[in-house]
This record gives sequence, C-alpha cells and structure tokens, in this order.
Amino acid sequence: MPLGESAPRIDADAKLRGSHRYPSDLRPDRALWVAPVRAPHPHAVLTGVGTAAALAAPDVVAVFTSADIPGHNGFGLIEPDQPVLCDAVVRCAGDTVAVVAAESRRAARRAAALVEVGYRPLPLVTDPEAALRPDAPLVHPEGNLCAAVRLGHGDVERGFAEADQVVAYEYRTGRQEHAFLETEAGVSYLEEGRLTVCAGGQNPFADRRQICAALDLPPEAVRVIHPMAGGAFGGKEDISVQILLALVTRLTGRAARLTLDRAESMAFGVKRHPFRVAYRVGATADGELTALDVRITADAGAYQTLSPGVLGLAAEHAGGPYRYRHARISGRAVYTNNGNHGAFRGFGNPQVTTGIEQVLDELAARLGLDPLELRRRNAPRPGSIAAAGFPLAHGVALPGVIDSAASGRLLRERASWTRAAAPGKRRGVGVACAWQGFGLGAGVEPGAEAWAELTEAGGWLVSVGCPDLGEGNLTAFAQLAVEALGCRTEDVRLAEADSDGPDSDSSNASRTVFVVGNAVAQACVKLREAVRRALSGALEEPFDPVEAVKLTGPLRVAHRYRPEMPAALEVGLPHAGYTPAAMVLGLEVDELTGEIDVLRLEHHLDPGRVINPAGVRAQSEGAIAQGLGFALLEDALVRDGRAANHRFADYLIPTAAELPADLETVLVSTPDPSNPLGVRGIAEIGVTPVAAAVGNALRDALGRRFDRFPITPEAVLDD
Amino acid sequence: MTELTVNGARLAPASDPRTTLLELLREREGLTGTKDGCGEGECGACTVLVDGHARIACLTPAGMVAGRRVTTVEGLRGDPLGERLMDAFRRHGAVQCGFCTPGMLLAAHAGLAGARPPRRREEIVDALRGNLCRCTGYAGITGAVADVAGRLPEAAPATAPEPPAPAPARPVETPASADPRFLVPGSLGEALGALARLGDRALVLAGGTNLLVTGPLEDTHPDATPVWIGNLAELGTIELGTIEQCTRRLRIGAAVTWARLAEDPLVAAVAPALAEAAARVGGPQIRSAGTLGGNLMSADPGADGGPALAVHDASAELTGTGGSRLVPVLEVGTASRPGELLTAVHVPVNPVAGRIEFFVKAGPRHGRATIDKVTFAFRAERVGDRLSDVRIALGAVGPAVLRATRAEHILTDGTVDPERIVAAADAAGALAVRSRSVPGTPDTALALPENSQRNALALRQDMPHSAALSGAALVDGSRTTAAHSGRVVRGLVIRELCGRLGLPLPGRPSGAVH
Repeated sequence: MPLGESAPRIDADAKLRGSHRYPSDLRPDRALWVAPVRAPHPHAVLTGVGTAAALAAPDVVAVFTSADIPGHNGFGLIEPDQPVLCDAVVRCAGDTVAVVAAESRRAARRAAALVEVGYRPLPLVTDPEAALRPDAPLVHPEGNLCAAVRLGHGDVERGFAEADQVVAYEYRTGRQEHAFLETEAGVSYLEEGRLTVCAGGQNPFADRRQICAALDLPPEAVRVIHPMAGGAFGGKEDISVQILLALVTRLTGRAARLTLDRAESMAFGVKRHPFRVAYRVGATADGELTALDVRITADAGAYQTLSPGVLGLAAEHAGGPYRYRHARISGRAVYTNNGNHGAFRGFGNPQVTTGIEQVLDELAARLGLDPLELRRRNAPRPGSIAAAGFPLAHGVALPGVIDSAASGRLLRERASWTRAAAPGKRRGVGVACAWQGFGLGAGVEPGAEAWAELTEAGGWLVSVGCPDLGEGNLTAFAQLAVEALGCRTEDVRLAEADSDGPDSDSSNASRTVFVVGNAVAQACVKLREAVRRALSGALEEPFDPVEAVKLTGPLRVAHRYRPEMPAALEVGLPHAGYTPAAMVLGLEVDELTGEIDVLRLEHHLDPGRVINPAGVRAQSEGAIAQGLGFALLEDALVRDGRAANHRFADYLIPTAAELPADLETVLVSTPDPSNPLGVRGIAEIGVTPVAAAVGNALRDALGRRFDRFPITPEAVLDD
Repeated sequence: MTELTVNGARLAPASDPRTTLLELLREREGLTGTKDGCGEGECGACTVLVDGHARIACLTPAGMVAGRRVTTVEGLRGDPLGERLMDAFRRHGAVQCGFCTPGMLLAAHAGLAGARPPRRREEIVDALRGNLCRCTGYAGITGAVADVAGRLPEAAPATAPEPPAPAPARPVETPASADPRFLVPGSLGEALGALARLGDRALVLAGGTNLLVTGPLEDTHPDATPVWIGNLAELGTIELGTIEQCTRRLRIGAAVTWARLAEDPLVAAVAPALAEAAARVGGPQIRSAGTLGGNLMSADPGADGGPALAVHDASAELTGTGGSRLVPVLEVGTASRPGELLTAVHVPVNPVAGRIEFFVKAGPRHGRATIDKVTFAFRAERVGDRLSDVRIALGAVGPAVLRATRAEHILTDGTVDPERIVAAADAAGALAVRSRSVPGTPDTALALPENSQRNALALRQDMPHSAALSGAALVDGSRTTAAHSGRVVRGLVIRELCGRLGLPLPGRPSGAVH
C-alpha cells in the first residue's frame, strides 16, 4: 500500500491468530528453567552465598554465583556498573546474587529459596536531596552524584528584572512502571555450537555487546534475536534476563528459559525517573518570555543505566518549544537505593513538560492572555536560540499545531461544555504544548544500516536490526520499500532484530521511522538501481522479482543512513529535529469524592510526512493512555527501599473505562526539513503534555494547582 | 479425571488437576496464543472461553474444566464471529504489540455472543473491563468491537459454530472426582463428609478468583486438599422460600456467581444493591467465576458482597453434617465452625412502596480496583419527606464491614433535607475515619479471621525465589489516609442521597450551573 495510506499492519494476522511466538512463548527442547536469587535488602554487604542446599534440591542442575562469571561482572547501557551477580554489595532490593538452573520452573524457584545468602545491612539512601549531603551513606564509592547538567544562555537575573510577571512552581512526579503486558522474557540455546539468546529487547547489538563482555566471548560467538515482544516503552533497553540465560547455557551447554513474574518485573524492573523540579519563569506585560530558571533533581536509583541521558534530554526540553531572553537550566541525577530508573517513553521530557506548560498557563492567566496565544508569541523561528542555548536551525513547527488546537472542537465548544457539568461536578479545559526531539541526540545517534535484497526465491527482502515492539515500524518500512521499489506489497518481506543482520541500532527515541526508515528507503532505491543496471533493459519496470532474479541472480544492497546532526552541546543534545504537539483536554471532577474523569482529549500533532496515518494515530492514542496514567494513577511506591505496589491489583494502569470516549488525534502534516523523507518521530510525544494539560484543566475546574503527580482523589479533596 | 475439549479436540485430563488451565494450555498443549500476563486475574491476557463464557485461565484449576468446552484464540479460526472480530481488529488498528489481543478477542466474543451483547460504548467498555492493554489506549479495540456489535442482528445474538451455553440457571455439573489432589464432591453430603474427614487439610474452593490469585494451588497450598464446591447443585440456586416464622426469604446459593447475581430478576427485585454490586465486580471473566459465598468467606472488608447484604439483615446459612443454622451475614467469617460450609445467603423479602436501595463505590478507577476504594450500600423506606428503616453499610474502610448506625439514626430523626443529609454524612465519615484508625492496623493490612473457607489473601505465600517480595501485604500500595476515606464516605452519602431524593447539593457552592 502506498505511502500516506493506512496500510494494515503486516504483523496483525499472526498476532490475532495467536500464532506469533513471543519471547515468553518460546520452548526450546529440554530447556532448563532459570530462577534469579534476588536480594531482599535495598542496601547491604554480601557476607556469603551458600549454594549446597539448593544444589542438592530435586531437579536442580546448577547454581551460579559471581565467581562463575567468565568476563566482566557488570552491565549497563553506558557504564557497566550493575553486577550480573552481586559479589560484594547490593544496592537495591532485587539485585541478583545467584542464579539457579533446574529442570522445571517450579524446581528452579524452590531451589532459589534454598540459596543461603548472608547480608549485613547498610544505611539506606532514599531521598535524592539528602543523598547529596556530605554525611550521606554512599551508594557508590565515587559519590552519589550520578550526573549533572548546566545549560542556558544570557543572564537569567537580568531576565527576571525585565519581567512584569514571574511565576514559580515546584512539584514532584511519580515513579512510573512500564507495565508492558509481556514481562521480561527470553530463551537461550546453542545453535550449531553458537550461543543464541532470543529475548524481548530493543537493540540486539547492545544486548550482544553486554552479553559478550560478561561471558568474555567475541561478538561472532553470540547471536541475539529480538522477536516481536509484548511491549517495551524503553523498559526493555536495559539487560534483564539476557545475561542470566546466556550464562546458564554457556556453563551448562543446555538451552534455558526465563520469564519474569509480574511481581518480579514490577518490583525490580527499571522505572521512569521520579523528578523534583523547581521553575521560575518571567514575562513582559505583552507576553514575551524574558527568563527561565529550572532546577531538576532526578532520582537515578541504584545504577546509572541511562540516567545521564534522561537528565540531559529533560534539561534540553525543560524550556519547552519557546524563546527566552535569558535561561538557566540546571539538573542533577542522584543515586539512591530506590530501585533502578531508566528509559521510559518521553525520556525525561514528560517530567519537565508537566512544569513548564503549567507555568505558561499561569503566566497567561496573570497577563490576561489566551494561553495558546502566549505560546504562539514565543514560538521559535528558524535560527532562534532554544532555552538550553543551542540554535534551532529549522525552528519548531509549533504554530501549525497551535492554530489547529485553537480552532478545534473542544476549545470552540468550551463554554457550553464546561457549563454542562452535573451537580456536584466541575468541568475544566486545559491546553498544553510539547516538543520532543526525535532520534538519538548529537554525539549519540549512530545512524542505521538496512539491507535490501532481491532474493533467490524471487522476492524483495528488507532487513533491519531494530525490533518492532508493537509500534508498527515494520509496516512503515514495508510501505517505504513498496514505494522505493515500485513493487507490490505482497512481494516484500521484512526481517528484523537479529545481530546477524544489519545494525540499525535501537528501537527507541522516536527514531526508527526517522533514521531506519530513511535507511530502508535509500537502500531500496539503491537496490532498484542495481537491479536496473544488472538487467540493462531486459525487463520493464516495475520489475517482477521472480523474473528479475532469473536474469540477475540474487542481489543485496547494504546501506547506512546517518542523519545530519547539529553540533553537540552536551552528549546527546541537541536533536536533529523536534516534533511539536498541542493538546486540549477536558475533564470533570467530582467535588465530593475527588474522582477525576478525563472526558475529552484532542492531540494536535505534526508528524511531518505521514507514512501510515493509522499507525501515527495508534501511537498517539497509546502514548496518551500512558500519559493519563502518569498524570492521575501511576506511582510505583518505594518504602524504605522496597517496592510497595508491584501487582496490577495495586499498581493501577488505565483500563478502557479511563480513556475519554471523545479522543481525537488531529494530524497537521508539514514535512520536516531534517531528513529526506520529511518524517518526524511520533512514538513518544503523546505521553509528554498530558499531565500538564490535566493540571491546567484542573486549574480551570477548581482554581488550584497540584504539586504532586499523579494527582489522586485525595489530593483533590485536600484543600 | 474426565477429559476436556479444547477447540473441538478432546484432550486427556491434566496429570495434576490443580494445574491451572493456563499452564495446561501453554506448556502441555503448546497453545501459546493464550498469554500469561500477570498470573493473578488482573490483566485478562489469558482469557479463554469455557462453554462460551469468558474465564481467566490463570485462576482456573484444570480440574474445574473437566468435561467442559474450552476455546482459545487458536479456536477462533473459522468461527464466524471470531473471524469478524479479527477482521475488525485488523481494520481498526486494534493490534500493536498484540500481547493483549487474544484475551481481548475472547472477551469480546463472549460479550457479543452472549444473551445481551454490548452495543453502546459503555457496554463495550464494560465487556473489556477485565482486559488491560498498554499499547493502544483502547480506542482501536473499542472501535473494532463497536463495529462488529453494530452489525449484529438486532434481535438475536450472533451464531457461532459453538454457541455459548446460555448462562446456566445452576452450575454445570462436572463429574464427581475422588482425586485427592482436587476433590469434586458429587453432592453437598459428599462435600461435608470430605470436610469432616480432611479437617484442616481441606481447602474449600468455589470460583477460585481469590484463592488462585497468589499462584497455582500446588504451589501455594501443596499440602492441602482442594474441595471444589463451585458446581454443587445445592449451592447454585436462587429461590424464594418461606423459612422460619413464615418470613419470606430469597435464598441465594453460595456458589452463585456474580454474573448470575447481576442478571437475576429475583435478586434485582429483592436486593437491588446486591445486583448493582455484582455488576461492578471486576470484569466479565471474574464475574463468570467468582461466587457470592467465596466473596463473603474471604472476610475481606473490601469485598463488595458484604455491604450490599448488610443493609438487608441477611443471614448466612452454615451447613455441617449435623444440619444447617443461620448466622448474621457479617459474622459468617468468625461464626463458622470447622467442618461447616457456607451454603447460602438468606435475604428477607421486605417489599416496601418507597424503597430506596443502592450500592456505589468510589476511588481510583471509580473504586473498581481493589485498593484505595470505599464502598457504600444504602437501603431505606421513603414516606413523604421522611426516611424510615434506614440502613447504611460501609466497606473497605477498616477491618470489617460497618453499619453506620449513628448516621442511620440521624436520617430517621426528622424531615430529610440537605442539612440532615450532611449531618448523617459527617457521622458516617467520622465512623470510617475511626474504623480505619485502629491503632497498630496499617491502612491496608486488614486482619482476617481464621477460617478454613477463607480465601488466600491472608495466606500469601510468595514463590520462594521472590523472597525479596515476601513480608509485604498482598495489597500494600495504598496511598489513601483514613481522613480521606472519611471524606469520600461523606461525599458519597451526600452525593447519592441528595441526588436520589431530588434535593439540591449543600455545602461548597459549585461553579456549575444547575
């Protein structure tokens, strides 16, 4: 199906019929079951690990401890600082200290309980601000500061002196759980002697690198495959089951399986970083933003994972898509024993957008300006300097989505809709804008390789290294291939997410259609040219691959696309381009119970050139649902370092009933100048402005703001 | 054990009848289309059809489905309604990661093929309420189901090659089994005999929706003998009768499911609060399995059956080998003796002209989750501008279901106006605060009485490998304070009574125009 049309997803049929094999569905012959032995203490010295009783248990094949790790006992996407199996200290509850392999899942779990681990508890660090005091216990010997950032431009004190109005706002955001429906899962086995790990993940090459380091194996000795998994949202970027599986297979020669329990996944998996943020913003009477001052404290949890990146992206986006005369953004990520915090859709941006978009709303109210008009007046133009201090060569395509929102149904019907609240209820409407950099940032985005082939069997095959985590990127790639090859949809096959294939880097950062999509399109154009040359007029276009391959033999083109990146300000920023959005949200509050119902929501989004409108809307709707959870429901509580709510019964995510019946994604499509396809990344942006829009709508309904997210019924009733 | 039928094929029974249907399907049969998302009945990814009704496979011991027809997603191939649903899911972009998809399809199938197929959006949402999705925001899914629902013939439900059995008027009989790992008594007498014989080792099981939440029985209760009473005919009837002093009573068997309570006309007529509570329990998958008796014996003050019955002076019928006796329904957890079974609940039939009766709950997700909710049941007779025989019951606000007697007195003490309602609401709210503020009782760690028939909530035995998780209460994520519970109780009393009596809301002036 051509570009710009809502092609049905190429993976839908297998998923609908239950025939797609997810990582947790794989059952290699004679596989051992693996069970991690996890530390109950959030911070302790390990005084000994006794395995004899577990080894003597029925059906147990092996018990491994840190002494059994052949290579570097650590993993991590930036720094390999998280032990595969702890050898000295545990830094968060759930740190793994040993691993059991047995003939059944039951036997493995029972034996895991028999591993005797000695702990000497250490004092806890649970408050990121207290963690920076000189007398604070140390999570890592080098200190508790994980990362720090200072960005901005101009003289912010002068900016406040120039302001007619200044708004300050401090708040905290929740610790959000990814809650992918399939927990971390995978299998490992030897295939022709080579160690193969088949698991849910977001980048087979990153996983392979970390597995090889821990097992002391060269890259060619390990193959990693990421079958389409049951969701990820950033939570499967970090290693979870992969190294434990690989270790068991490497040391026993047997295939292995491991699927985390829901409680295990929720208690010990990475989470969205909880933020504490303090904003001050000043503006002139006619609505020019003069000063931005933001201070961010992110709880990094016990290990680095992607904390410096999350902090950097949050700082980059903290000013929102606006110009300021002066800006100062400072942030720090701090180690604690509060579990582990990593990538989650939005990557730090939802936490800060929640602040800036409420502050602008408050400024507009004080200045007597329409909130969208205040934003319009400060939208960057090509060449404007962003708050963080970098030039925006192309500006941000914000005015188009603002205009779309301003003329949308909800704002037009606002007065009558708000008045129609039932007795005891109050309605409010809020707007919030957002921008979200797409692709990995400057200095980090490696580009992507894609392969396009005319196969021996007479078909077109496109290979990419990034998995499809449910977002539908494979369908978009297929559409791009059909367009570039000028062929029929049914003649194109996709192969993905295999470390034996091309390295397209990860499925994250709203990057796959942007980076890998351009790589696929260009690889297919190259292949078509190669076929044309090889055929030298023997066949007419569009080429029938069955006929073509008879004359040319199989052909393969490998192509790497590297997006044009701006100069790096810090590692990971700025970005090649920014997706703009404006959200309008209508809610109803029950004054007597504090319950909040979001009843209407419009997401005005500029996705650039649209490959698949249904796919864009699907990403928008799913991200909005996660944003509603972040705003109103979700907080994975940690009490004294231990997960308090780690089940779907007590960590509540939205059900169908929590989504507004009137939910609309409005696409305002203008091509993005950063890349040949003209696309923007859209996977994350939907989550980012929701909490701010909720906050602004509650301000409209109740005349108050809230300083803690999620906003609970209790907070609503607490005057 | 008797074989079971899966997707039309007769399969050998599970080697261990305690094995969950989910494990049997996925591990033994390789039917991995049925997904394992949480193992506790919250996500719905393992939803299958049992005789056409949605069921949670992870909460269903294989012994419960002996002789039954099970349909998994693999069995929807060629099924006309299944194919229409799959086509609509495809066209509406209802599939992203796809992990929730099989469960969604089967939940939708059960709803659309049932006696009252969902048509309006609220009905469709309710049919899918037991299924979580993290990718789609549900819009594509509800759109797809609405599309199929909109094309159903108006009168008759869809015909499928395996039409669902009509909601059974009584439990489908499963052949009795003397397998000591999963006893299926053939009669109440047999069940009582087994309890007497087994003593403490007996683990009475009705719907399984509470007991299996902590895991498969062979893991959580390896030394117990499950005695499944969920299919006993004697426990499955709803009937009007005259018992004791000629009082007319509605006798509801302890094994009657939420689904039947929600639909039964007698229940709706005699105890509408109970019917409303039943309709709001979990999703259809839980309602088709969970029973009134199991709910009451869980002794969980958050269980919705308690308040709904507490406004009725209902009695619990406890039956032992020596016969039956009646105890007040709220005392059932402490009153029952070893060897006794809760066999029925008796609700006095008390027809009143101006009856007002309802059950509501509030909290995150409108109180339909298990945490941070408040439940409120009310019954009264309205005569002119006065109320008499007022009963107010509160649930999930402390260690037991409460009757708010002071609030009841206030309401009967004079003409009902907003001021009086506020005074009653204040009293009810204060009671909730006191009840939740019991010294030494953490907000959610509710003490449960000892009882052989209780569910496993208090017996959480984490899988050993999760030692790091043990010690935590089963539900420990509560964020609400006692003061908040009190305010919500107060708010519910004011909102519901003013609304239902047609009185203006007092207190804080609202900005809304009425």
